[in-house]
This record gives sequence, structure tokens and C-alpha cells, in this order.
Amino acid sequence: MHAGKPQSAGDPDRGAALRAPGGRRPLRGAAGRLALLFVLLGAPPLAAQVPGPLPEAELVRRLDAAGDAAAGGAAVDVTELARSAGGVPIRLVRVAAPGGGAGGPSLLVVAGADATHLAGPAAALALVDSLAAGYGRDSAVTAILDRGDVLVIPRLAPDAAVAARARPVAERIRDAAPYDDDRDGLVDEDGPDDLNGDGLVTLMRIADPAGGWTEDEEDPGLVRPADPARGDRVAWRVLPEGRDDDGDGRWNEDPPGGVDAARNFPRAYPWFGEAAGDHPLAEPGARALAELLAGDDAIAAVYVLGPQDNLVRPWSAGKPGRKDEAGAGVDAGAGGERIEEPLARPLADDGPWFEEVARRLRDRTGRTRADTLAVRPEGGDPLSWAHYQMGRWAFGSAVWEPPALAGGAEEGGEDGEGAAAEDAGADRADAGADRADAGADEAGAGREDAGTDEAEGDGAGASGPRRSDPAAAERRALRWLRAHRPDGFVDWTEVRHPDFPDRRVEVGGFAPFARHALPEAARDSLLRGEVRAVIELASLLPRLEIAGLRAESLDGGAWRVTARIANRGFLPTLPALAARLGRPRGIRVELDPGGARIGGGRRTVLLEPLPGGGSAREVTWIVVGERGTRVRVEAGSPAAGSARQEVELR
Amino acid sequence: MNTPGVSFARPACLRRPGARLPGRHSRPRSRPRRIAVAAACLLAGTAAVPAPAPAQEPSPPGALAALGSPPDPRVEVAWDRYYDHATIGEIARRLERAWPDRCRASSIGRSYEGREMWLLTVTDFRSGDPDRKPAMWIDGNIHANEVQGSEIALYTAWYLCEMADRVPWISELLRDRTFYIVPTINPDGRENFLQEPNTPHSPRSGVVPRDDDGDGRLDEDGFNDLDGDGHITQMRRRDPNGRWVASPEDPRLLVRARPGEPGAWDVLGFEGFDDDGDGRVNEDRPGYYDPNRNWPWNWAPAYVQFGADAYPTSLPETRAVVDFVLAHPNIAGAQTYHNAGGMILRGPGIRQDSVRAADVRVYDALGERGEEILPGYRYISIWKDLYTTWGNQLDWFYGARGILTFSNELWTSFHYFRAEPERERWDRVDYRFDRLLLFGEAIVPWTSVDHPQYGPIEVGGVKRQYTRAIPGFLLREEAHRNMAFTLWQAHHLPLARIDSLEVRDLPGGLREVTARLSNRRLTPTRTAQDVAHGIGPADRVRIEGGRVVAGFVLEDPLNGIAVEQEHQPERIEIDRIPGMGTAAVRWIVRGSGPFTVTLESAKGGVHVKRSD
Repeated sequence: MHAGKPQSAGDPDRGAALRAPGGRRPLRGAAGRLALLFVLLGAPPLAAQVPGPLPEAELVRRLDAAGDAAAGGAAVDVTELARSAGGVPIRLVRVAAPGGGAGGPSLLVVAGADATHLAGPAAALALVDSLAAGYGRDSAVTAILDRGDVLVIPRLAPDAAVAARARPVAERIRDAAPYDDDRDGLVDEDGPDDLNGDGLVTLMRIADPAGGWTEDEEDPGLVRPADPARGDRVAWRVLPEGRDDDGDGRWNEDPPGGVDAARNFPRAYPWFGEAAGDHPLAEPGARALAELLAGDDAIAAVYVLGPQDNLVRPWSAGKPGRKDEAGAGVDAGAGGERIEEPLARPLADDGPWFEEVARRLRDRTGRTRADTLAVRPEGGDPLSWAHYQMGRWAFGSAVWEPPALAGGAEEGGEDGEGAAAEDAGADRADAGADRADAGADEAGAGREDAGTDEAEGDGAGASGPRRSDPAAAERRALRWLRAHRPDGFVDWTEVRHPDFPDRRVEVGGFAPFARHALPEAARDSLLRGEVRAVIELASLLPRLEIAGLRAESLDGGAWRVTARIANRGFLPTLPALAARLGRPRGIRVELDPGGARIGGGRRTVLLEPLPGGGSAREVTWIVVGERGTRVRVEAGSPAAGSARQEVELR
Repeated sequence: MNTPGVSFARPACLRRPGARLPGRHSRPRSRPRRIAVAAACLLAGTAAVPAPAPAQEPSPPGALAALGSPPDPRVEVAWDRYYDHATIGEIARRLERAWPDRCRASSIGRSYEGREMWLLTVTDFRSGDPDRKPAMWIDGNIHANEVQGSEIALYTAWYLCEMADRVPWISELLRDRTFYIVPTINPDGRENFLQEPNTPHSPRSGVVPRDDDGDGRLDEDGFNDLDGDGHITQMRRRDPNGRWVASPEDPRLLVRARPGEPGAWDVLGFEGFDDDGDGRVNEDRPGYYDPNRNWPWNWAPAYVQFGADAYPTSLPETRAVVDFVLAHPNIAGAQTYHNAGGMILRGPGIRQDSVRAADVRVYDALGERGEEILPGYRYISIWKDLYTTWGNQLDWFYGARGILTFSNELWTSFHYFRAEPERERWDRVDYRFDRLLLFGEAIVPWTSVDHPQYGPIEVGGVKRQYTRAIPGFLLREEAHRNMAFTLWQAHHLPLARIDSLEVRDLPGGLREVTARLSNRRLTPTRTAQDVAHGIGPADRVRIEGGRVVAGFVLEDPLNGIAVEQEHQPERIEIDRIPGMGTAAVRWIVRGSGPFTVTLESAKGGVHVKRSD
């Protein structure tokens, strides 16, 4: 049970490879093949029924295949962004129109920061496939690649994924860097152990009237922290499955590996937290992503496939004049005022864009606002960091969570009750139909209609008893697993435990990754939904144009030159926050007066972000010169594209 | 810690004037660096290591040694100038050669332009493992223009080496403590400040190129030294409608015309023109970020904190210090020098953070003594008494590593006339001191130049070595007093000791061994921040010499209240030994002894005692 998860699980693979030098290198040559061979040989056999991260070799094979499929169409360029702590390449895939890219704003898709999020890399690979094969065949794909590149990091944190292929299988989240979690001077000396010999690391429960845990009354397979106020009888102590390898009275407190990239980003970084590392951006993948974003202003938007999800729980600016829980003004920065502390919500100018784009992308994926149980709070995550600290439009999808069952007292009821059905367009109906295959339908749930918008504007997320009942998500997952993936939960069985010779000890619980693996029946439709969402997001990126350039003769040798700079895309050229950050770079408009002289106005003008939908701003100069002179205006922003036009003074 | 393979540059005076260390983005220099070359040549005369002499005699013979100075130092250093990067490395190497048992020179990493970040490890290398002794970190110059921290850090290393034989207190300090001294943690910025034309305030940044004006170009419009004197001073233009006039007290100084009084001058800012033709002057200088806002603790993005840069530890110099400190859990105290203003600063830098109460008491005890050692300095906390800073260095040292850290803002106008200056325009006292004690050397007289945009103008004003950096004849005193404060702090780093081992016979052939522990210094072996967040290991007390039956922490030694540690009783863990405090542990052991007890404290050191 992970609500009140006792400690992290890990795996026994202690053979961390040495850190290899970083740098981006093409992987498609002999070196890449060698790396692949190494990974292939290193991968031990795995129980067929256990879901887990995609093998590294399979990921490489898929990328190669996508490149082959694109032959003659899109350019698929795979480079090494960095090396993980364990020496595994972290791959960056650039999909571009043939001939080396369009030079417009690009979109970055990041998956696999959290190694337990199996759906992320799967969706990222599906995306690469679709883009590679779709250029020249699919009009939407062709259109977005003609305007800008799509960058994909299919797996930001490969170490944990590679390690999770070993037996016993554990839900590992840490990279391969050894770490002294319990500050005893030893590294990685007490990880989990497979006590019942099933090849899996689950939980163990020890009969203990002071243990603090109880069996869930609704589903006795679950254990949850006991609440004496509810009359719970404390029966168990719960720990990850394993022995006290170092005899310090703590179990599995120093598992193999170091840092989880998914909690190593600097926004709301969980200092001193489990697997958080010693400081933000200490983890090589997290660091590499920071360097990538800091160094490439053309990346206009980031789409993160991971457990934080602002499609089903959109960010909103909140109501002006109010303070949020953190005490920060929700209308901080309004009217250009100084912002005193890091924001907990988007700026008022950015909030509506996050809400509207979330609605559109959500519709594309087929997710609904009821799918909020799997959403992990922000903190050290790449999604919120990409916006709040790197100034990008940032959206994230969890892809999937075990659906609720119909008629359940806690889920279906409140969600359906009084919930406003979402404004479903034709696209969404399509996605919904796909998603209906996903299992919710089999369970007889009209899940698609269960969306609730009552949290709108308040950011409160789903309402009702679920918020106060930490076991709800697990109950939901367990019911779904029992119906669809019976081996996803290991029933409790008694084992003899050397550390507890006089107590009853049972091993059981969720099988590693069982709750995170996409259901086979719905897999394709879920991945197609994510691909549609990414294509939609790319189509919404800003597009800068010079919508008009004219020169009015004032009298004889003086002209007023007026350029109309417009954004034909949907999203503003940058979030308002980016202008406050000073990054990415904004719009720069420059007049080249040819042989004439600028009599009024600055030669270069920097503009605040332009809203989308054809919004325009005019820039004016007075130019003094000879009739017949050609003056040229160039307008550009890395994240919105550039344009130039000429006009003759006459 | 001593990085092998670090090679030192040849003495600066042997190299062609103007030669630079190899580095990325080296640019041709605009003028030879006269000051630095002169300094290095002075040092070159002492290259030979004299034979060790246990008792130093004054030189020349017959002189009477002044106190507080080594009378015949093995390494001669003139403490009245500001040294370039090569010379700092050279001084480090000379100290290592002259005092191989006290000083080792190495590097903690390389700067953006490829300069070594010199580290002097100063301790008694014959006594104990340097990386397990309680250690004091000292650095300077994180802000490129705040140069004298480097000299003060170097002076500290030099003084410790040269005086340990004369002063038992210092010899004990080196026996018990390690000093990690990095004179400059912004070597590129320092080199820019020294070698390029600059103001007293530029650059604060390092030199990693940044696009300050958002035009897509990097560092394309910096200062221009219009009169070619190596200083960036003010520009003024004669204008009957201007609002500035020459001061009646000192005609070199411009003051605002009084209301109703006609003016004579426009003030046009620091020397420079519009290099990139965008209508703005000096708006994209080398750098620009604030290296002291780039640290992970309380880091905030640029919409909150100017100069934060894109993400915490984005700068290679920040990263090098972070990595070194993480790898040295024995660092228990730190000083990071800045200028100016005469302040002994502690955190936190922001209202939303706090220093734990027990740690504040230690800070107060140290800081208040600092005010006595450093007349004219005030001991204050940053956000409360100065201003808000997100992501500063000392907050990371304390917040993330539990290290009690001060930042001294070196130099205060108090020192001009050893009195609080009257409440008057700040620069009048600068100019008066220049007239009376520097005889006009500190101010560039107004000189006519032709400005490409403004036409005929004049440039003149304060040289970059003035107002923040310290005049040479006062630098040594400033160095000594600030060093004295850091040595006071170093003395009061934790010192974990086993005071006694008591062995008592119990029935059944068992024995009871009690170890009484102490820390007779102000700093606890682990700060309250360490204990609250599990930073670094707990203090551990191990026993050897018998089979341990049970082990206890004596929570109340007076009344013998013992709390058992059930697991691994042979290695008892205690949270800490408080400052000026005690702790005790006990075992029941089968065995006749003798027993050896080892106390291991990451920040308090290692101590071993054997029972009789």
C-alpha cells in the first residue's frame, strides 16, 4: 500500500557501471550498437507475466525502426543528451521535416523521469513512430513539422528502468549512483529481499498490536494506516519485503541507488526527502534537461508524460485578491508589480491559457477531470518546473490510471452526482470511444460522463470523500486489478522471517508495476490519445508574422514606417511569466533603414509577449532618406519563429 | 582532496606580459597588467625554500620582532596589493613548498574559462587525517569586484603557516582543525576586475556570457575606457541646464545644484558608448548574473531574485564548491568574504526561512565577539537587517549542510577616520580621505574626451581600487582582524572528546563501561539543523575489547538514567554533544578488557581512549 508507503523498494542490482563522459553523440553508429549489445547481454530473464519498464535494447530498437520507417520522410535524429549515473545513454530524439527542420518553435516531450511511470516511454515511442511515419502522409503531422521540430526524450532516467529488469523485480526509482540513505557510512547496504521466492518485491506485514496498520474494512487485501478515531484495530506493522541486512534495526532503509530524477528538479524541491538527492539537479538526467532547456530558447512548450498531470487537474490563476494556501497572492505580479516570492499558481495572464489548452489536450487524450487519483502533487517534478522556473508552456499527462468501477460507493456516486458533463466536441467523442475500450467500459462504468468541473478556478481537484480517504486510490486500483490483471496483487502468504522469529509475518501486496502498466486492451487507444494531444499542442504553438508593413510619406524626405507584428498561433508567443524571467527570449523587431536614417524610434524594439489568435502590435519609426530606398523589418523570437519584410519609401 | 596532477603556472614575471592562462573565450587584453606583474616579480625573489628553523629570528639580525607578524617568514608576501589568479596560485605553491607539513595546494575544480579554483588545505598534516578533523571553510571574491576576501583568505593561510612555531595557540589550532581555504571562487570575474577597465562595482558577476538585454546577442555592449586609463569612471557634459555643480569642498566632486541654484553639468553615467547601435549604453556587459544567488537552498527564479541565473548550480564555480562541501562532511564552520560595509552577516536571506534557535545562540556568541575583534563591524542577519537574498551561498551552507557560516562585508567607511562618518553624502568622506591620506591618488581628474554619441565630454572620478577595495596601508590590518575572527570561530568548532572511561565489575563476570564525552567549544558536534534533517551521520561511540551485552545512551548521567540501544549496541549513536556540553554512553560487556572506545563525529572529530 503506498498511501503511507513505509519506505522505498529497491532491487539487488549493485553493479553500477562507472559514469561515462557526457556530451551528445550520435548513437546510430557502431558505438550505439555496442552499447545496445552490452545492455542486451546484461538483461536477465524475467517472469513473463510481470510488467516492467521497457528493456533498454527494445527502446533502442524502436527508435531505430522509427528512423527506418521515416526514410524519405521526416528526419529522425537520435543523439545522446547525457549519460546516466550508471552510464546508460539518455537519448534525445529530434523529429523534423526533411532538410533539417523548419526553424520555428519546437515542442519538447519528456518521458521516463519517474521509472514507475511505464506509460510515459510507451507514449513517447508511439509519438516518435507517428511523427516519423506521418510526415507527408498525415496532414496534421506534416503541418506541425513544417513549422517546428518535435524533440522527444523517451526516458530521462534509464538507470532505474534498467535495474528494474533484474530479479527480484522491484519498483525502483533511484539512479545507479550509490547513496548513503541512512547516514551510517555505508552505501546501499540494506535493500529489499524476496522473502517468499516469487521473484517480486512487495510488502511484508508483521503481526504487531503496536504496528500502526490495519486491514481495510472494504477490501481486507489492503492494509492502511490505522485510524483509532474510526475504531480501527491495529494489527500489523508494514514494511517493504526484506531483511535487516545490516542489523541496525531498520528494514530496507538503504536500498541500491541514489536519486530519483522525478523529484530532483528545483521547484518545490523536497529537501532531505527520500531519493531526492543532496540538492536539485544533482541527478544527471535532471541536470541534462535543465541544460537543454536553458540552452534552447526555441523550445516553446514542454509536454511531460509522468505522474503530475495538469490536463485532468489544470493549473489556474485563481481569483484575484486572494491568497492561496502557501500565502502567495494568486494575483501576484498583476499590473507589473514586483513578485515577492516563487509562485504557487500561474500569473493571471497565463492562467486562462493553461485552462483552455488543458481542456483541448484532455479531450484529445480522452481523459476526464475525474481521473485525478494518480496525480501526484508537485514538488521536485519536471512539469511544474518547466513553467515556473524555465518560463515555458508546460503540460503533463499521467496517460492512465486504473479506472473506477461503476456504482462504487466512493467513486461513481459523488463523481456522477451533480457533475457537469464536459463540453465534448467531435474529437473528444472519438477519443472517448477509444478510451471506452480501456476497461472502464468492460466494468460497466459510464466513466466518461463522470467528469467533474466543480474544482474549477479553485484548483481543489476532485472533491468528496476521496480527498480525505487515502486508501481510495488503492482500493480502486485493487478492484481493477482483480477484474483485469489478477496476478497484479500478491495475496498475503505467511513466511518465516529471521528478524521476527516469534511473530506471524506475511508477504503480499501490489506486484511491482502492476498498477502502472497500461492494460493491453486499451494500450493502443491510450497511446493514440497522447499522440493526438502532442500534435494538438504543437499546432497551438505561437507563430510570429509581419502582418503588414507600410511607409507613409510625411513630407518630402520623411516617412512613417509601421510594422504590424502578429501572432497567428493560438498560444501567446511566451507566457507572461517568461517576460518576468527574462527567458526564453522575447520578440525582437529590428529596422534596417538601408541608406536612410532613423529619425525617430529605436532601431531594435523588444516586445512583450503577444497573445494568440492573430493579436498584433504595431511598431513605428520615422525614417528620413531618399525616395526609392528600401527599408527592411525583421521580427523574431526563438519560441515563436521569425519573419522579414521590405518596403520601399515612395 | 589534494587533486593530483594539478600543475601550476610559471611565475607571472617569467611569462610574457599580457599572457593569459589557457581558457575558453579568452579575449585579447586591452592593456598590460602592470600591477599583477610587479607583484609576482616581488614574490619570485623568495622562490628558494629556506632550511626549516624552529625558532624564527627577526630579519635582519638585531631587529626587534613586532608582535602579530612573523619576523622572518619563509614566504614573503606583500599584503598591500591585489593579486591576479596566477600569483594566487604561486603564493599557494610557495606556502606548500615552504611548509609541507602545514599547507597543501590543490584545486577544487575549474572555472568557466578554465582557471583552477585554488585550494589551500592548512592543518598539521603530521597529526591526524585532515579530512576527519573539524574543518573551517574560508573563501572570498564570489563577487568579482569584492577582491580583498582573496587576500584575507591567503593571509590567513600564510599567517597560520608562519606563526604556528611561535604561538602555541595556533599550533594547537592546526593540530585539531583543518582549514580549507579557497581564495577566490570566482577566478574569471576576478581576472576581469583586475585586468579590464572597470568601476569599483564591476563586474559583480562572473563572465559566463549572458544576453542581458534580450536581443539575442551576448555581452555585446559593455563599458568603454574612453580615456584609456584602465578605469571606468563617470562621464559628464557641460550644460547650462544641467543640475550638477562642482562641490565647494572638493571641485573634483559633483553634487546636485540646490533648488533655485543654476547647474553646470549633466552626469551621463559610467564611461561607455552604444556599441551595438540599439540606443542604449553599457546594457549588456560581460556576465551578468549574481553568483551569490545561484545556490540551491531558497533558490528563486529571476522573476523573484535578480541574477539567479537559469537554475541553481548552473555556474561551474557554484557546482565545484557544492561538490567539495558535500564531499567534506567535516566542515563545521565557514566564512565567505564579501565587501563592503563592515558587517558580520548570518542567514537567513529570506523572511520565509529561519535559523534554528539553538544555532542562533551559537551564532550570537561568535558574532558578538566578532564585533569586538572588528571595530566598526555590526553582527546582523541578512534579510532582517540588510536585504532579502534568495539562493545565497551561506544559506546553502547552513540550510543544506548545517554549517554555521558567516559572511563578512569587508571594509567600512568607519576606517577612514576611525569614527562613524557624519551623516552626509557618502562620497564626501571618500574624497576627504583621498585628499588627506592618499593625496589625490584615488580619484581620476576630469579629462576631456570626444564621445561618439555625446560629443565633447569629460571623464573622471573614483578608481576601481577605491571605496570597496582597501587602500594598501590598511589592508593588512583588515586582513588580520578578519582572520582573527575566523580563527576564533575555528577555535570554537566542535571538539569531541572522551573525557574518561570508567570500568566497573558487575555480577556474573560482566563489566560496565561508561564513557563520558565532552565538547568544550561553542559549536555543537551537530547543529540543530543537522539533527532536525539528518544531515551527516549521528555521532558514534564504538567499543572494542569484549562482547557487548547491552549498550545505552545515558540521558541523565547524573541520575544514571540509561536508554538502551537495542541494535548494534557496540556502536552507540548520539544526536550530538552540545556546545560547551557533555554526553555519556554505557555498555555492559563480557570480557576483561582493556577496552578501546572510539568517538567518531563527522564535524567534531575522532577521539580514541583505552581503559587501563
